[in-house]
Amino acid sequence: MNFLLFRSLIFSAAAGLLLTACGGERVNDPVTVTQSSLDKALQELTDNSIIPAVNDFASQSAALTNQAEVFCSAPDAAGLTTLQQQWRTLADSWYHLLPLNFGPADDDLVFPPYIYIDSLRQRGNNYSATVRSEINTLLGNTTELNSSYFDNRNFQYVGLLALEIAIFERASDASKNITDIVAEYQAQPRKCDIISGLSNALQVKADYIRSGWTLNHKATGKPYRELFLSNQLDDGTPALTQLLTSAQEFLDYLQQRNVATVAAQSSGYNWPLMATAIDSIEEILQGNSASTLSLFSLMTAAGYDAAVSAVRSNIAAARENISNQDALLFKSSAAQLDGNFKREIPDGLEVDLGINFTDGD
Amino acid sequence: MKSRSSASTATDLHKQGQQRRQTLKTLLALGLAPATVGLLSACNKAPDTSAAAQEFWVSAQGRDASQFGLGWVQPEAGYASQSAHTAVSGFRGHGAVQHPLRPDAVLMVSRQPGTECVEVNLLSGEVTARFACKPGRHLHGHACFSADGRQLFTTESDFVSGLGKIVVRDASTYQWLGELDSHGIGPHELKMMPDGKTLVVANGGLRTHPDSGRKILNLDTMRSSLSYLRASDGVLLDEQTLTEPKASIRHLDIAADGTVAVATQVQRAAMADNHIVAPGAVHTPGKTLQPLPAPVPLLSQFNDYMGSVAVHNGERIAGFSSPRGNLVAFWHLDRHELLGYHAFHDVCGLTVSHDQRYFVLSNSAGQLRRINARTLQEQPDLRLQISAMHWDNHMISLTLNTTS
Repeated sequence: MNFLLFRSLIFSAAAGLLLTACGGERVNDPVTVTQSSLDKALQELTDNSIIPAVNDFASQSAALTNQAEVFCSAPDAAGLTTLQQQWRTLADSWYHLLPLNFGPADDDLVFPPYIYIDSLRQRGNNYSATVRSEINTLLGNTTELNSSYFDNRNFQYVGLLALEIAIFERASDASKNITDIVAEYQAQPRKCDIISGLSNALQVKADYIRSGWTLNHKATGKPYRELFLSNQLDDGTPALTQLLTSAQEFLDYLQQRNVATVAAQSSGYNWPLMATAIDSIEEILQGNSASTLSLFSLMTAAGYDAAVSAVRSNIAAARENISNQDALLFKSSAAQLDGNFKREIPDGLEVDLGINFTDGD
Repeated sequence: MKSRSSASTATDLHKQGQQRRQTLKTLLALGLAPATVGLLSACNKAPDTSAAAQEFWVSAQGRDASQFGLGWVQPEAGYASQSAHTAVSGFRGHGAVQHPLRPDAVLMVSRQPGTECVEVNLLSGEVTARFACKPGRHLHGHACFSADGRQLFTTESDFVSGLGKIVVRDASTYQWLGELDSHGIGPHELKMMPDGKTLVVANGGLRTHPDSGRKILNLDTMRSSLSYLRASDGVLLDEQTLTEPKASIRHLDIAADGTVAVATQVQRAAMADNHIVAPGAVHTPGKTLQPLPAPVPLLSQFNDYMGSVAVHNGERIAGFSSPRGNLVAFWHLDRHELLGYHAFHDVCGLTVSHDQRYFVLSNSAGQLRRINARTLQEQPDLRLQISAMHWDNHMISLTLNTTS
């Protein structure tokens, strides 16, 4: 008999006995790996981590829109500082969500919503120069800067990067001095039109993602949460595979592209964002304070303690490299974690990512 | 999820199939009327097999060494799940090719750096022949037959020199007859051109050595090419390359007019920048090899990797599968225009159904989907799931007379 099948049967039998003996699962019951326990862990992760992250991103996006409006009503240094802080909070919220970049954020093969939020994520291209040129052009012309204009701009010109450059730099010379930036806003009201348009366009995307997860995904009449947890995804990908693949692809992105040294350069907030992303990776595996069951606990129950330790060690290494702001070693630790998500974690959870995907020729 | 279903294993299904065939043989030997056989078939929910030709979808399959083999299913049999069989090979296979002179026989080639091939009879379910390459050589997963069916060509590599070889064998005995230079490194898929005289070879350009597994040893200097060789003596007739030197040409299919569609795997780690590379290309006779365009966001979805390609002659469409993008996409062979795409988890196997109505897609979860070749829309009502099967990279479609 296939070893994995045998092991699954043992797990299932053990779980059945436990449930029979105990009359149902309670928080203190021993953790066992069954389809039921995996489903429960996934449901908890979805409801305790993913949906709150999606909601938080939409809320922080709305908060940025409001803060931009407040600032633009009377531009001053205090208002700009608050606006800059809100951008950091919003970017943090996005990097919390970024390893979970599937479902409504990535529901179109040609124009996925996420690229309009984070132009770097698609293939690591830095569009800062493009954005600076765009802002200077808009400041110098009379194009009507209404919502239609921003909603129809290509992804390179909008999103978090465009907002960052508009909020953290003076357009004329990229000065990051607060006084310089405020003076430009005071002298050029069109710059307020720009951040207003950009923040509203971003909020549309954030609301779309929230709506897709919680209300109606792509006109199915069902929230993506429901489709995800019932394994009814369009392309036939099982939910847990989708989750692990998404995290793995994010880690691959961290190692293949120079994210740590290209993202959030104007704000100087790149390393905190890397830390947020690693926190999110850990939360996928370990859950949070609301969790009663996590992927790590299931791996441990299945006898994969060593794999869990290895992953924890790689997470710790990533954090140390972030602390040291060592981009090269950070890429290396991302590569280690990428490998964990391809091998140790799927093996520990008996998840098949697909032999063609993992081992093609 | 691995192995949590209660579905029969391939071996069980094979035994069921053998029992069914044995029972039928016994009844026929006893002279029982076909009606009796029909009743028995009905009990087994089997179709009326008096219709001569049955379609088979055939692919290397399996998730571990105990399962690896050549698997197949009869999709239209009305009992597709029960029709699924695996002939265990003992090694992980890659490409499969039907023997032109013995249509019941399909040859499966081990993936690189394997060294073995097996021949399987689809009607008996038995492995009927097995051979290995010479010492110091390994296979690259693909083979094709000569136009007259009397010779077999396999893509192989010489460990020591790293040079690509096309080894020629007698197609009845699989005895080594000789070898040709592939005119490149790491020859992968090859096929016979419609003229019956020219081999077209995808030289992937990547050097590996069994001592280092599948590790690529020459990323910096890799050179991939599409080579046209005279099958009789190996003379290089034409060579095409892509402008992107890090795109490894791996798989190909040929239209009836000699147009060749190629699927590449881009070695991103060896690239100096982030530019997106079109992973599919078409070579029209008399022209240069042309990348197939698509919107950049879609191209990026392929994750630099296409695993299989299949040409539909009637519609002049080339389909490409990308398991790393969970995506199949279709281009017009002449206009090079993107015609459509379909998302499907871990898709790699890709072929055209015998009736030419569908592109057939397979994945490692045992799922099979059909895309209407005219509309390029999937027909969800025709989906099949063979839980015991884990379809590997390539699938072929063929028909056999199951009553003979």
